Amino acid sequence: MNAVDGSSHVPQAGFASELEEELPSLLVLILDTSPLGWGAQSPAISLHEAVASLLIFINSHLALNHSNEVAVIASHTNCVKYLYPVPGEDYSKLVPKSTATSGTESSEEMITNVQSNGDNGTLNDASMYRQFRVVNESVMKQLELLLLGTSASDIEHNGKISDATLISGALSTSLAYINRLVGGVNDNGPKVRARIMVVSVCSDLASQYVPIMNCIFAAQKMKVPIDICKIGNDTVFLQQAADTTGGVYMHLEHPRGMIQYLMTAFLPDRALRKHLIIPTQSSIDFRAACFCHNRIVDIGYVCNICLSIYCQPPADGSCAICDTIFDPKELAELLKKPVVVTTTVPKNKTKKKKKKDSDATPTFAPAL
Amino acid sequence: MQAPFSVPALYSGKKGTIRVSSGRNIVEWSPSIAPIDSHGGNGNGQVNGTVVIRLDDIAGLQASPATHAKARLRITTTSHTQFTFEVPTRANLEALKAVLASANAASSSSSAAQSPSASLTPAPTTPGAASKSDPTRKIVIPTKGLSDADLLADRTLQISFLKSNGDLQKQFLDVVVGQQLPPDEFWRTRIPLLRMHSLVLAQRRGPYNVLATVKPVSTTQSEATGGGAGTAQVKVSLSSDKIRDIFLQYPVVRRAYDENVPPLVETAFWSRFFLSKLCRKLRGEKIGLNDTPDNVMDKYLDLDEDGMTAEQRELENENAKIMRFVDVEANEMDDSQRAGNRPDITMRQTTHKDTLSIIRTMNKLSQKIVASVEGEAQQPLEEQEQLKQRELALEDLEPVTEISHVELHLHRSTDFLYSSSAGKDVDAAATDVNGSRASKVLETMTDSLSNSSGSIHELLSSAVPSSSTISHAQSQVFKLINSRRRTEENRHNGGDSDTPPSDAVTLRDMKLSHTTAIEFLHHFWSALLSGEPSRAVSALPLLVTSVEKSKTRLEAVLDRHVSSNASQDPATLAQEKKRVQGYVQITLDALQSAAKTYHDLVKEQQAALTAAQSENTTPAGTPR
Repeated sequence: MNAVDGSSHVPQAGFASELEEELPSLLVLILDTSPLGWGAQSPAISLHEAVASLLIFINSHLALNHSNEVAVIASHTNCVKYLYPVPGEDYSKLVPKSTATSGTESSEEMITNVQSNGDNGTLNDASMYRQFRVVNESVMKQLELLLLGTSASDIEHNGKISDATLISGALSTSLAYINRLVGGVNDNGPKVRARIMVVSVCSDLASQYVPIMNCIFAAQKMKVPIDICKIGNDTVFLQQAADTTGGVYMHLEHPRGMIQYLMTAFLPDRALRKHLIIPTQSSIDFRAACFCHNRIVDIGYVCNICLSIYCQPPADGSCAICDTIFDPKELAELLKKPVVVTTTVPKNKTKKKKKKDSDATPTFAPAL
Repeated sequence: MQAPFSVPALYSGKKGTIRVSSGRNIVEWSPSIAPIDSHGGNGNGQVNGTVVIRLDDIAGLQASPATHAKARLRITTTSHTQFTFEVPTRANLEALKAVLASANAASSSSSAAQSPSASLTPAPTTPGAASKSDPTRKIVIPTKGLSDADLLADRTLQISFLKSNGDLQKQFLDVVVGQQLPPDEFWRTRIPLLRMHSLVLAQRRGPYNVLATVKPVSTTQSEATGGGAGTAQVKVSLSSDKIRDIFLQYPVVRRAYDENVPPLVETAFWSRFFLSKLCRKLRGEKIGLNDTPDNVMDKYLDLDEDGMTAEQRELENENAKIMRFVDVEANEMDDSQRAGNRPDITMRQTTHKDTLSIIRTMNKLSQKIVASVEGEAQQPLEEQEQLKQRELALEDLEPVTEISHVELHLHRSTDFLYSSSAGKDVDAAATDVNGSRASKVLETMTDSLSNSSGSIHELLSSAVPSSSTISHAQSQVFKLINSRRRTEENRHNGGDSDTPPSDAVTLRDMKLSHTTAIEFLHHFWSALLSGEPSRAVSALPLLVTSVEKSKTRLEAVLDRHVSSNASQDPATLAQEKKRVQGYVQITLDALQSAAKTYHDLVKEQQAALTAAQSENTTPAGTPR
């Protein structure tokens, strides 16, 4: 286990950071619930199995510190939904009246829970720590409601099943949630230390490039790491999210062993990670998506005014975002076709679709 | 600016050349034979060496009438000194006169504010000083030769650049000399570097305070006793350049030199100078009571460093136009009665005269040096004025300007573009299948969730997989941790801490081949995408061969590495090769794809060509 000890490579923690380490931490978990996405993983892991692992993970997180908090957000095909805490729900009422006055956890409370929640479905268990139970029940119940409330027409789009998931929306929601909790910075500094974790099964996010990148930069500014637990194919922008914000990107090679990944790679919180070598991928796909067709591009063109990315020089010679009109001569230069064979016939019009290399020109410089 | 104009001319019966250089604003006559020191004794120095007249000091030009036998030109200066030059032919005279007149007109308009007093400054007879011509060291910015084509053609520049840059030289030797890349191709990608180097070469060291750099080592015998007039000996090493600079920066020294050197020996002059109070004063040091008096040098103590007395200076100041907004007298708000002169140390009565003179000397010197660097590239008067205004403006009283951001709007909905062109359209027949699939997918999901209707304990325990799965997952995590740990350690230990020696050799070879390969790739793509048919013929095939060769070279490095391995086990060897190949796989792929792109293009374009030709020839060959 010595391998994870990275403390020799970091300067000794000062007093201030030690104080910071005692802060409770907030985990915002974004669960991709795209039905098609999970369907594609079906032999390896099902949503149900993943949720079970995640609940154990959440409970471990809560167990680490009495004041640790958690929020679970579902990123569905057509909506973003809080699985926990549910808006309008009062979780304190789950505390039985007999112990509510004491305000502290006691074995007595757990016993009385049996009676007060007797009607509360089959997930009830008397021997469970109250906070665990509250989260577990809420997540399971809300997830079920979400899936039951999803009709086939919701995930069908233009005659095909949409494998889209609103990751960008979920990221924005979680950043807003974190901002609400952390934002009230009083004299003693922030009250909690937040991080985001995304469990993703969806591979194509190209249409959400701009909103996702905006979320990444917002998170970077708020010093909120975004951890990615990736099941299925790698996703370009999520790699960048983890890299930019200093989070962990883990592509699960063995999805069945998800619980092991969660416990070893994702459990340490922000303060602890300074002392550890975090198991994240060293090679990151830094490609971007073009603004015009949402294609992921290796080599593209960038507007020199607003830095919009294009996969090919715009047909009308002006930027779609900022309306800058490009120099037609430079555009023509960019559109030149390579000539490899010359003949005595001067009119050698060889039409050839060809990707442009990064030959920078002042007006319209290719990206990457 | 015209080119310097010169004609042979006689002055005071001596042969010489008269030169008009409008760039320097002077007319200069220099004798064709080196002047002999013993000749002069009259002290005014005009006859001895060269005669230098500033163009803007010329008050009048007078040519001898055409009927006169000798063609003579008389130049009258503003200080009413007259110089008469005799030129060999009448034509020469007319030309000289015309040049002088036009140059005078040009220079007097541009530098009207120049001081009139330093009009006649006989050049020193020191051979070194006389030989070096242009004292005002202008900045010469080479505007020519900076175009891409010029830089590509300038071989001397390239050679000097290679000499100054070791890494590049190595690369040049490897790629151009070793691999036959045309030098032009090599430089084409480095034109900005060449341009930079050319500009660097054009830069010269500016003038500096010479006296401060001359460090006399005094070996005085009796100075230690504090007696006073001991036989002081000073060792000074003076180059002719330094002497010239001293004369330029301190005209008073030049004056002392001119007036005293004929009686004094040159070395004696300099040794006396460096011991004198004058030197101390010019250096900005304090003049102590113990300093040895020197009856020759002390004469010049009261003059300032331009060789002017206090009265002359005053006169000059009166003549000089004082800017309205820096004129203290004109500004009522700057009333010295309010705070008195106390805040300004130069205005205090108690301030020692020496301190003041030091401040003044230093200020003047810096101004002079700066002015000489700026040289002829003077800003227009308006700009100077604006600059001064800006310096005087009280910016902190200005209202803070708000930063305005430019808002960008996405006009055209990208959703539309996406859905129409993403190429994911599904034909109508598939819709039904998908529809049923959608509901099926949903069903299985909800089923799996509701099936887990046992206790939450059961649900949670279902998450625990088999121990083999756990160890697989564990090993993936630890593999990542270990690889990151290695990079961390390498970064901290400065790299190759645990690389075996065979790896070190391979690494070096690999680095070299990699650099070369990237170089060729760069040239290949820039040539290919330039779309110029000329380059397609001349450079491309060569570059493609080089690209392919780079690939074989890299592979050879890999093979060498594997063969050098001690182990004979084929499995280990294959594993080793795979490991090392991992380092250069990206380069190999890039080389491969470049070659493939080229060959595909050749095939395609040749096919298109033959098709076009057959189309052209068929109707022509079979006339109907």
